[in-house]
Amino acid sequence: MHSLVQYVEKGYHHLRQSNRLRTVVKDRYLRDDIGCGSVGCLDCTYGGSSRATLSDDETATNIHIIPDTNVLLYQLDVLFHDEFLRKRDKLKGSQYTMNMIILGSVMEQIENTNRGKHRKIKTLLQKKRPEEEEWDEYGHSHDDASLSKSKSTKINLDKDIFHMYTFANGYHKHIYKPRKKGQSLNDYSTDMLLRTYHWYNAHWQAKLKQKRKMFIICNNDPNEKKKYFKHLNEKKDNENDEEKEEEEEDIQVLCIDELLAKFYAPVDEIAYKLLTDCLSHIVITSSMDLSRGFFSSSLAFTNHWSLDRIERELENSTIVKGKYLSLYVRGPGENWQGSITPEGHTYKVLIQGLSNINRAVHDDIVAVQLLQDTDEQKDDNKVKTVKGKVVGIIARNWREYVVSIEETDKKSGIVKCIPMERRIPKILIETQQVSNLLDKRIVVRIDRWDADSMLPYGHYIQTIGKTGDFEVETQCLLIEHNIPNTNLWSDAVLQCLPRNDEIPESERNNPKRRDIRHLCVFSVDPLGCTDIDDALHCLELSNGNLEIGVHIADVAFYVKNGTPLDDEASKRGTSVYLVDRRLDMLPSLLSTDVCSLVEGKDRLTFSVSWEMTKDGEILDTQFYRSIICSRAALSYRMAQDRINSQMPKDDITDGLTHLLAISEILKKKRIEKGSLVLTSPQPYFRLDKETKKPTKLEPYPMLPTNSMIEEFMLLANITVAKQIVSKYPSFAMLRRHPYPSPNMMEPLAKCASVKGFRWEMESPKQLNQWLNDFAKKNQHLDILIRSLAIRCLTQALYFTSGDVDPVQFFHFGLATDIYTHFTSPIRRYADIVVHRQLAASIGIAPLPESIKDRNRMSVICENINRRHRMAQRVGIASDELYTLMFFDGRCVETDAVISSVDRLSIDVHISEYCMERKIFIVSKNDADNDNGSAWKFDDKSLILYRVTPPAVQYQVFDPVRVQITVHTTKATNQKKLVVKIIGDDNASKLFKPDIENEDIHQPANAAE
Amino acid sequence: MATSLSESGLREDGRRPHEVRRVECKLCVFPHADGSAEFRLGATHVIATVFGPRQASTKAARVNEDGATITCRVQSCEFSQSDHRQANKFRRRDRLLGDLIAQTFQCAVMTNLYAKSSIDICIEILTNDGDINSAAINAACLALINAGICMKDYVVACSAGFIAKSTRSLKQTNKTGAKTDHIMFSGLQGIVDLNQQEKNLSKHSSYSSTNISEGNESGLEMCNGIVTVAMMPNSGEIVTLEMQSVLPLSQMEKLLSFAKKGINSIHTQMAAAVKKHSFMLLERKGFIGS
Repeated sequence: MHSLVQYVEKGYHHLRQSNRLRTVVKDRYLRDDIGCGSVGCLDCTYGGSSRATLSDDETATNIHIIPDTNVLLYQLDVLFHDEFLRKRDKLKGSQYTMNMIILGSVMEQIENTNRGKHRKIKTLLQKKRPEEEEWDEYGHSHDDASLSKSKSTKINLDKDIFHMYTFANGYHKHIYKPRKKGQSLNDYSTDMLLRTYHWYNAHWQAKLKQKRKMFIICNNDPNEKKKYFKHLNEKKDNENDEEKEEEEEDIQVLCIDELLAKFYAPVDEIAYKLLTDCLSHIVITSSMDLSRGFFSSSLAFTNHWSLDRIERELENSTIVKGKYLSLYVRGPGENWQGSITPEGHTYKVLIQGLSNINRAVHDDIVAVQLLQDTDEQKDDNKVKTVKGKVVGIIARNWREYVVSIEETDKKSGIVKCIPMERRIPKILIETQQVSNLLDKRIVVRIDRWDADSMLPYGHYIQTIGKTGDFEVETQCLLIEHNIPNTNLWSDAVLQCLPRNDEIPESERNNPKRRDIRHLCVFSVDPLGCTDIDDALHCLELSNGNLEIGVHIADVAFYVKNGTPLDDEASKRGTSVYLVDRRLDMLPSLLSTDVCSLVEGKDRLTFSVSWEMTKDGEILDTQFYRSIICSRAALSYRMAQDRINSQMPKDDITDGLTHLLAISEILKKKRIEKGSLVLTSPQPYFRLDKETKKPTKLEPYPMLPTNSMIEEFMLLANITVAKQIVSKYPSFAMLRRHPYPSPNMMEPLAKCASVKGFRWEMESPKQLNQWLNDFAKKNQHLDILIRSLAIRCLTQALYFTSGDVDPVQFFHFGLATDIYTHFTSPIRRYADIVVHRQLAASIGIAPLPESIKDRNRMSVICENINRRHRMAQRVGIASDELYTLMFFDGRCVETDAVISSVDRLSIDVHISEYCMERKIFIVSKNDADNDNGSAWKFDDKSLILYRVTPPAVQYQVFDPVRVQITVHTTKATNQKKLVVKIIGDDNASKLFKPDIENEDIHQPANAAE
Repeated sequence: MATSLSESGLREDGRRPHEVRRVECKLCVFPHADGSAEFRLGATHVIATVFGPRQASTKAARVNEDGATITCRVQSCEFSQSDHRQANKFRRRDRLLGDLIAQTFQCAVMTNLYAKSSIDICIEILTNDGDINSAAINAACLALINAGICMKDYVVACSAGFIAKSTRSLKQTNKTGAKTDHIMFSGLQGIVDLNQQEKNLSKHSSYSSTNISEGNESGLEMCNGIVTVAMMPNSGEIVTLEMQSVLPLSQMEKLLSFAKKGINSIHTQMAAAVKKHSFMLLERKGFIGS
């Protein structure tokens, strides 16, 4: 056994929240069996040495770097860049191998200062490290097994392991020294770093008989570097002559940019430039200083308040705090504004103008001072908006942004980046490779935004690819929506999969599972659907009633609770459907094979079956697990053809006909109850098989069979929801759709008044009635008004029944008291949970403990809600991308209807292509004109009209003729869909295409 | 607070997962008692004294005609805990621990040799830095040996539990809008001899400890089940097994094997201390020359 030295750390006092003093005494065991991490060091073959990853390749010069705390905190993008630690010797013929030693003491310090970063570094380290076995053996065991294990890892090393080693210097007998009284934490950390440096030097000299190149890496700030030498000098002074004179070995400290310049620049120009771009500019470099004067103007921002002051003022409630949501949209008619909803209040604070926004970026948590008194407005219970001003930032929520670089003549230096997300301001980055990046989509991160700079500074992280490329653009969408772009699965997940698609014998004989393979079960899905999760059957009983069964793939049988597979699925939450691809929630073996209810194969299902009269009256409901064998996997079109054809009847067609008849009755009942008929048409793309370019764009065809399937799925969901909530009132997973608030429906009400309709909306039934009346009178506006209505409603949410008052379980859109999702477990995680709850509720499976846990369920709900929203958004974004691609190179004229009008612009709805576009009518200059704009806007009747001749007017619901083309913006070389109004000669002359104007109102430009 | 193993595979206090804290034991610390011992496990510090075998007091309800009655009383010092709580707060826990120890030694002591007599163990907890149950049992064992009471074997105890290899926390907004952290664990690492900090960790994630699902092998999400095992190391018999949380059956064996490793390592050191003490006695009596 290696010697453990117990060192009892001095107790420290710690004031707890309850104001009780508490003394903490900690042990620290110092040991001498911590390996140096070098592969070649045979003296360090302790248990830990299987992790030895530092290169010992004698053909190359090994450079060892020890990053200090600051550099690790701020330059993660460089230090963990693939280029940085890549085996340079083999690839580029260089004689260097870069090795990184991360110190435990440094990590400790990071943990104390920045928990989030610490966690991030840990995950990064885990990613870059080979998979580990569990530490089953004693750390110090010397048996053969561990030796052979370490050997096998050594072999692996030659592949693509990064030379990165974590050295727990804080536990090393010869290195650790307790902090002296009065020594600052930073000094102590520097001291530890130097001690480790010396130890390594001495160790390698003694054991390997060689001196290795070793550098301490610090941030690119000259002061940082001096720190070490100063520290060393002090030390020398203290331990003067009587100490051995061995201290002569000098330390080598490099700033990170020096390091790059020294070892990367001469060898690999491209990597050097790449890495330099990745440097985060925590310290202002000279070139940035130069650019400051250039960009800043009299419009410089006021300084933010200190956090202390913010806290104080918050306590006095002179200011409010909330998440800043930017409403700023780049483009003509742009407006720098955003809003926050203060925590614990219902009113909104509007923040207008650059100086008031004061460097807040979308999603930041900000402190806002109100510019006018709120009290007078509070008595009105309608949600009011007040104006405010950002005085401080409590937490930045900067993420990585996908941007493209604005056109420039520069070869290197500072360039402007235009984020894809329109709510993010432009970002300045310093780059050496402008020509490389010009027509690329790249990812950047913001580093800082100072009061004297109009735009934030950031740094480059990676290049995604060429702008306009399908693949690249899709990638960008996924990154922006934070969706992992992968159909790849970890080994742990793959191990949970069944070996083949055979149903295990034990399950076939399970008495709790019904064998209903004799029934005529079939599925109806969109054409080309491979993840079929629902099938139906319909049987005429001897008493004249019908037995209707809905069979849902029994995914919960394969995805056992708590397995890595389950974990991964709950993380993903939902499958994501893009125009050209699908990102699965479950591995494709499950989603398209084992669980998919394909034709002619035995499959496990969870069934809900009803006995119904032919009038759709439910007499009896049953839930059971079953084995089915699907007779046919139909598409909607095929099913429809079968029903329509007068061909000799077979079981399937019979069933379909019955189902269709029943579904129509059910639908009628549902609508009578007040369920909304809200269909927003989805665009449907026909893609060219090879180029994947869209060749045709049309609204998604809706057939009666679509609504037939939908009807039974709704029925099954409602039935299941009732069942699980009756058994588990406190943790059933349900879905609700809250009532829209009156002011959300305001736009709809306004439009209605234009057409002379009175607005009253208390229940979904009334809304439905209203919509029907409206549509009856204005046939051509049917689809438009319904999609307007959808936009006014809230989003449906998953929730845990214990978290919400039962009155609020209501699903507004379906006008049902209770609803859940049960029918698509292959592509939604919520359904899997519901399956588990249902199985437990009918007593055929135990209820996993984790599902009983309300807190955990709330976490799951929140996650899948978020995932769901993101999946929806990215789906829409993908549609938009393909719409753009479709119109590329085309020039189409078509009919459109004005769907909304505001002060500056109109929205047109083009039903032929399922799209809606904003068209700016009034340019900003015009609007700000002191003499009064040439355009007037009538808020009552929603008319935008021109006062000066020639008279033009746009009113909501007016038909217009539009032209759709694709323009390429000059600034970023990006393609953009442009919709122009034509047909009205006057109108077309009145405004220029908006692309030219795009950047006129950018404040930075204005400063120029 | 670190919630998992460090990057280099060390625990928060620098031990490897299967190492026990430093063990220090001393026999015969109070000469006036029949037997006494001092046992330190890292910072945990326990003193045990044994009185007996002696005539069972007639007042005691149970006088065992065939064997000895073993009683145990545990006392915690007010300064034993990191926050100075009043002593009576500990009473319940101490009484339970006393019962546990009495039961443990009822099996290990050859009680049939001491009919109608009682053996009284008294445990004083001086410092509690986790795992006092094991420390108290070990101390009692040494004190009994010191008192010359016949036992079948040593009784050595050690605790074992799980720690997360890595953690991720989920942010959750509750109804009031406040953010709470939920710690999710990924990957578990068995550890031996938990100190107070590691033990607290399992308390903090209390919901996770009730959260262990059915019994499917890999279906373990997270568990911080801590077992304290007392064993007779030579025969391998388990004397006491104490656990206060839920654990899947499949994990139990793993945990026991961890604990066994810890027990073996503590046992060697206890045996060495007894040997050393015996030699010292022999030396003093002049049986062996110095």
